[in-house]
Amino acid sequence: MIGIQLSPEKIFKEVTNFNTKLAEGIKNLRQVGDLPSGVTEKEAVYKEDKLVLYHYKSPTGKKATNKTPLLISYALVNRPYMTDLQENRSMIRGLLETGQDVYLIDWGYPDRSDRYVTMDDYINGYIDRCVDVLCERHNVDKVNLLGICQGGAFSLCYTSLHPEKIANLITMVTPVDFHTADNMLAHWIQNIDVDLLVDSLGNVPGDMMNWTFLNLKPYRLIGQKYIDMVEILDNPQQIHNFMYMEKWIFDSPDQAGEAYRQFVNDFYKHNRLIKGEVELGGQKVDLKNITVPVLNIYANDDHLVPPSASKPLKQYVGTKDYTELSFKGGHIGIYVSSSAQREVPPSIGKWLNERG
Amino acid sequence: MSTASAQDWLKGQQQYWDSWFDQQRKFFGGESQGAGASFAGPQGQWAELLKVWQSAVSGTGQNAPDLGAFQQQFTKAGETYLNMMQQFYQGTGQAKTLEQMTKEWAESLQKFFSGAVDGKGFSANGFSGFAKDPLSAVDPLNFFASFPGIGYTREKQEQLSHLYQQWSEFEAKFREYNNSMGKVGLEAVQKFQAYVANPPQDAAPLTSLKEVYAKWVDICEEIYAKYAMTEEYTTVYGEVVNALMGFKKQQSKMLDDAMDQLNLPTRAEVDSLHERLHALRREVAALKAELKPKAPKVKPDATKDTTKQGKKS
Repeated sequence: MIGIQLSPEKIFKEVTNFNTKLAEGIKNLRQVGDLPSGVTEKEAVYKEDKLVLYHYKSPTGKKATNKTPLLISYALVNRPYMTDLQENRSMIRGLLETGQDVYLIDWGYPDRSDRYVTMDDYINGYIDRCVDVLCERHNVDKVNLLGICQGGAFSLCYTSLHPEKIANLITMVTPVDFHTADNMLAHWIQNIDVDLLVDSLGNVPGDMMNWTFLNLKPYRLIGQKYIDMVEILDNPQQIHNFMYMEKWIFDSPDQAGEAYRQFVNDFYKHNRLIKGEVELGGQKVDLKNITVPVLNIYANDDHLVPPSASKPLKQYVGTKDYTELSFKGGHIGIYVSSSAQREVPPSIGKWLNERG
Repeated sequence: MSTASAQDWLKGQQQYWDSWFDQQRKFFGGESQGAGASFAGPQGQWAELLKVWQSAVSGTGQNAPDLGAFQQQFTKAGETYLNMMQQFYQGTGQAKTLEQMTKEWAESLQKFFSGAVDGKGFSANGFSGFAKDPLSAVDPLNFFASFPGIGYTREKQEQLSHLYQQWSEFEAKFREYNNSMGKVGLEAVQKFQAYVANPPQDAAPLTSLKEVYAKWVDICEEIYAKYAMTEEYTTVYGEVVNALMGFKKQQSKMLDDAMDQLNLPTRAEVDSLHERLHALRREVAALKAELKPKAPKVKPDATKDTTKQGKKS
């Protein structure tokens, strides 16, 4: 047997180390306590139903130099504080430091009363009203829009339908072509009766969404991850960081049934976004209508939204000012890794500042 | 190594392990047991904690489908490492060879996944007894459920039969799903054994239990990822989800019927109100938008054209 080279001493040493780390580290785990949902000071400037529009304040007191406010539209499937997880892991802070005036839509936690909220309501309703609020506050005609993941797909739809209100568009880890060969989620959904699912459940539980995401890499995400966690149990700071992430991952709102139905059927199942067949409020979404500057950011190791799903955006939008930024990391690392802090917000800020 | 010297080595090892076990027991306050006996220690507690954690992860929300049984498939991934540690740990205490220990560990995995393939390993909650019973063809409930309802309670009989049929459908699809996942596990065991017996020339040997486990996980993920993109998996996955949703839909309908009989609001009624409310809100929003004066945002650099457009409106 040459694949494994273990001596009894090594085995015992390893088991001892594991046990010691566990015995000593459990107390660190218990001392983590409550974790905040976002760390940067913010002010609610608009509320509607479950939605809250927040305006962020720079912790360093830096004033916004870009006169066009930046609106961030996050996905519905997780909470937006991923963009502001910890003091040293905050995309929001990074953007503030580049002189952007940052606003973020917090979609809240939809309940049964939101079951009939549609994609049209989200995009032509909520997002549009948030844009109007910003235009009013800043006395401008247009805002900069940054859409993340599903929020990026929403931002594409919005910009296509309301091009006059958007100055620059940034999409981050945003799926555009949903039928690429490596898109596991799109593959799985093909034989699921989404109408039956929504008719049966009403809203789609966040737990169910989580389970689906975990099943993308089940052995790693449900097993190995927690074995690896033992390695850091004796380090209070590392376990703290781990728990921040853990909290965010499983803090998943339910999905408003009708919006979920259309998003999964139109985007994942039938790939209608790139075909120009998505219809919102009686209007077709045509990506060619997007003629404003576009910055498309994707993560090379993204297992949720593979680069192959994001990169085709270039061929479908009508803009002549298209920029791509690839990040060496995954779907989550793009917000929180130390390299992301160094690369992503400064690049976005620079790109926006160059365009006024 | 000659037989005599091998015996000496084993004897020496045995003494070493006995002494080491005693120290471990003292360190962790365990009860006095012989070397190689079951030793749970903190990793045993960790296994329990892991189960609780994963149970929480799987979700037990009222509206969530019952995913508890699904998680067993993958909970094993974490437990595997702990079990592996346990087996190797005990094995060394019993002076087993590395080949023996690896073989036994692989066999225990094989047994687990074989259980999934033959349907003995997992089952959905509830009526699983019928589903696993080889005489399920004569399942009395299924037999009666196949009759049409008659008499005053005809509609209720039909509803109940339909509910049971939906559950049976889900049970069957769930078994198929588990069967397919069991095959993935078995294939992973075979590939792992092959790797250990004959690793690629450029591969570094696995020199810790952690590395052995990481290799095992890599192989599992590789085979799973490949299988999860096949038409076969998509079909099985779709069927099990659809069957569960069909059951839940029928369940909700029957619950609504019961609420109606108690003169209480039903989910369907509340849904209908929500739907109308949202439709009304859209109408109101559209009317407000029409009535809202479209004042131009006059910026210092605004062009004449923009201002004109604003004036027109």
